Amino acid sequence: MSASNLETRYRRLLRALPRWYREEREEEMVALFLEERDDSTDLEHGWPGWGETWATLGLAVRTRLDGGGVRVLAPGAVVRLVALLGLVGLSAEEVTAGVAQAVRWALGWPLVPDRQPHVGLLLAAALAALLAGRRGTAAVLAVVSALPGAWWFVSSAVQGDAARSTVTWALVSLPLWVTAACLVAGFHRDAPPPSRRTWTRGTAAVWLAGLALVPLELVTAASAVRPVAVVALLVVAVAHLVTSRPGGAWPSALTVCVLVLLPESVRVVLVAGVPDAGVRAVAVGRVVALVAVGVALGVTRARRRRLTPSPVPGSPTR
Amino acid sequence: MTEQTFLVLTALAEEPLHGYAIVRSVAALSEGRTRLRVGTLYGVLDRLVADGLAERDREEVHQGRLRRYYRITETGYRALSAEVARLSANVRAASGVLRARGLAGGAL
Repeated sequence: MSASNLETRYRRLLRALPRWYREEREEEMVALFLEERDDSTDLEHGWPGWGETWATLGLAVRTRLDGGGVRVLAPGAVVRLVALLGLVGLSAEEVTAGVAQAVRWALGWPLVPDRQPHVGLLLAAALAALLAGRRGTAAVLAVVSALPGAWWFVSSAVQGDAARSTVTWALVSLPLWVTAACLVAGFHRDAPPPSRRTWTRGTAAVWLAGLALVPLELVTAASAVRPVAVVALLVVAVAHLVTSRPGGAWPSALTVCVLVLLPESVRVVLVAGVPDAGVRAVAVGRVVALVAVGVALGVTRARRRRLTPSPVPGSPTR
Repeated sequence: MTEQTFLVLTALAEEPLHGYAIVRSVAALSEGRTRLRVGTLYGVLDRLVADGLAERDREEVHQGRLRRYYRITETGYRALSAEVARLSANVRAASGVLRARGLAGGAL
């Protein structure tokens, strides 16, 4: 059977889909597409149409982000987990800093400048909205929380400030930007919702653990180097490495979190110059913890890859 | 559950169907309001399979073209039942409000 021009054009459109998806589905999709397109003029001169084009491009985006349930490890699952971990860790950071600030105020101690309590409130509200099933609201709140950092970064670059200042804004804002971007990209309409029970409990645990760091915060003004998210990440990573089964989105998501937090941590230690010995110790500890988590994840992944057979691309998972 | 997902699952609840049969069944169930594009249908089917609500059935070759059938799972039946119950409760609530205002559509 020789292919019509319409079939050729449709197959060309399907190239927007990932290769592994086309290998699995192309013939099936072409057969369905041509079922109702049997007019000879249409077959010679027709094209798939705007509706089909948009539907195919939407499917291409979802399969690239989400895996469409066909692959064993879907990038979308990693993206969603990074968004959730970012919301929990960064909101815990601000809660801890806010409580410490309140205690300082109550004791009449000097307050730590440059706090951003509105960021913590926005992230907490975004997390609550996401767990309540309001994805659009969550995405708007997360993007709004990331805007001030983006504004300072852009204005710093436009005004020709020292390159160091511009890079600093980028590194400081990176965790927020990545969290907001992952939330927007990962939690699309057809994405599975996060477990409300699991993430509510996890958030409560991380926030309470953050409160345990308030004394450290009071003694060292450690909020200058933001240790809470790293400590939370360290605890979650150790728990994952000790208890989890191989596979899943956790190793990749934790690795992304390490890569997002590490540049700013290294910058503080190497470039910023921290005069206070206590803060410097916290800053160095933060880098050591991140490197340790990164190495442990890498070693574990390499070991499991040697022991686990590769999944067959295109085979259904469930 | 989106309306498209609901309609596809309803179509599969009758019998295992191939892609074109699903498109026709959804159009009939929705009285022509919903016409699934190929890209849209496979997005829905991927999600249903990933969530364990549907699974692949058999394959056939029809006029030289591949037809792959899909069937609903027990989990899919339960999810569909739950969604029907949820939508029915919404309809009852809305009907009650309309009936109280003496508007047509409240009759159920």
